[in-house]
Amino acid sequence: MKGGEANAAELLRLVEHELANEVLPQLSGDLRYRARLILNAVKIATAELQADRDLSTAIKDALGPLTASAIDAPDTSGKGAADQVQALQQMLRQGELDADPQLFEALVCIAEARCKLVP
Amino acid sequence: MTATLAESRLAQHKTALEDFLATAAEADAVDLDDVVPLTGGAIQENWLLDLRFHGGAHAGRRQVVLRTDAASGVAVSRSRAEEFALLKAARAAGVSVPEPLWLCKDPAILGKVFYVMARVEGTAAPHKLMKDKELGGDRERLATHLGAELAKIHSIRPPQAALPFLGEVPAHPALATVERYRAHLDRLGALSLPLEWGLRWCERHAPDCAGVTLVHQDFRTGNYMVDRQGLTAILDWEFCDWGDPMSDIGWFCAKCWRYAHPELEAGGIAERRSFYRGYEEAAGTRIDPQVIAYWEVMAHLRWAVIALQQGERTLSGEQPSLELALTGRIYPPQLEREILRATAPDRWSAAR
Repeated sequence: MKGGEANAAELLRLVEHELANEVLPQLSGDLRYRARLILNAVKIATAELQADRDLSTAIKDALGPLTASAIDAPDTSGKGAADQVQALQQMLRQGELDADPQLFEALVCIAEARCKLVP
Repeated sequence: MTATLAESRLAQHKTALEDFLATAAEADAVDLDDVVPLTGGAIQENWLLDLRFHGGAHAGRRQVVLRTDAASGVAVSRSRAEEFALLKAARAAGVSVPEPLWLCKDPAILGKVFYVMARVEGTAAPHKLMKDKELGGDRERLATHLGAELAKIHSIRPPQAALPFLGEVPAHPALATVERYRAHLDRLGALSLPLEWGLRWCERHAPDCAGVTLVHQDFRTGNYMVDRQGLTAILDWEFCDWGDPMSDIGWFCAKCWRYAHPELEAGGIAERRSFYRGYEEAAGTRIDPQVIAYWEVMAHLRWAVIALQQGERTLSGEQPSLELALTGRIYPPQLEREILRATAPDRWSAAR
């Protein structure tokens, strides 16, 4: 039971449904193109709301061991995920992770997860 | 004055434009009868003009295209004056381009620089090419023709007195490109490990360039016009520069520009060998498939960087646009996946 109040994700899902089934079929030309843009934006927002935590976890899981070993210590310094990614970025540019299979696997996992969020 | 002309942004400049055209065409007078806005992308405005020339070499009715900057032009592309010079150079090299007619640098006429070129019949819309197999005539022949056209573009080599704005000739185009894209990512504040992985691979495997030429840098399906018979014109010269000619071949063949037909490796319209054959015959050189594979990775990197830049244009508040935001959001993940597929650990050569 949800008490009759739709949350953000549910509202977006309904907007998507209304746009796709009621509005889009009535449109043509430039307006139809623009409505399709809106529909795509809603789809991405819906998927992201649903998967955001999953994606963050996936990225953390995939990169966590790498960043810990890459910066030669576990992340106990309070550094955020962005700092860890930045450390990996610098190591990549300096050639310290060339053809690294562990990083490659992590990047593929993340790329696949990101692709699932776009129409 | 027609309703379209009266409502257009050109209406207030009608007399000044007619006077400019009369002087430029050495006519007694010119009447601007109608204008139709044409699609021109986010950076330029294109207008189809219906003109009547009185006297002079162009006497009679003529349709031309006027091209100028859109309100929200971006600094990365060539200016209209530079584009006009490039069109002239391309036409002199025998490339199929709309005939460049007149350049106007006087801001008093339209409020911005513009040029006028001949109208070319046809369409450039990729979705029409993907859907209608009759468009462009025989597709293998079209690809061969496109290959030959690209070879003509690459016949323009530095130095060129008429193209001084192209600047320094890069000593190593591939490495210079890697450096440029890293700088773009840094300016955007973009932290993308797949793109960094791809850039490092490109740095490690950068091929030597056999000779720097003019490169179009956006030679792809969507930027050439066709009619029912075949090719009518190569368009969009705003990204030209000196570079490695193989980069244009990689851009044309890259999966991201094959649209609905990824199996047709030459721009989604034909087999790769037809395109290569046209290029090799016209250029008198052999294409190294391994080098093109390299430039296809670079093509995906480039498109990813451009997509992020387009997204940033709207996120920064410069130009509110859902379309730009979606470009920056939708394309990079797919491109990252393609880049990773092409640069798996077993595709790295031993350390140099």
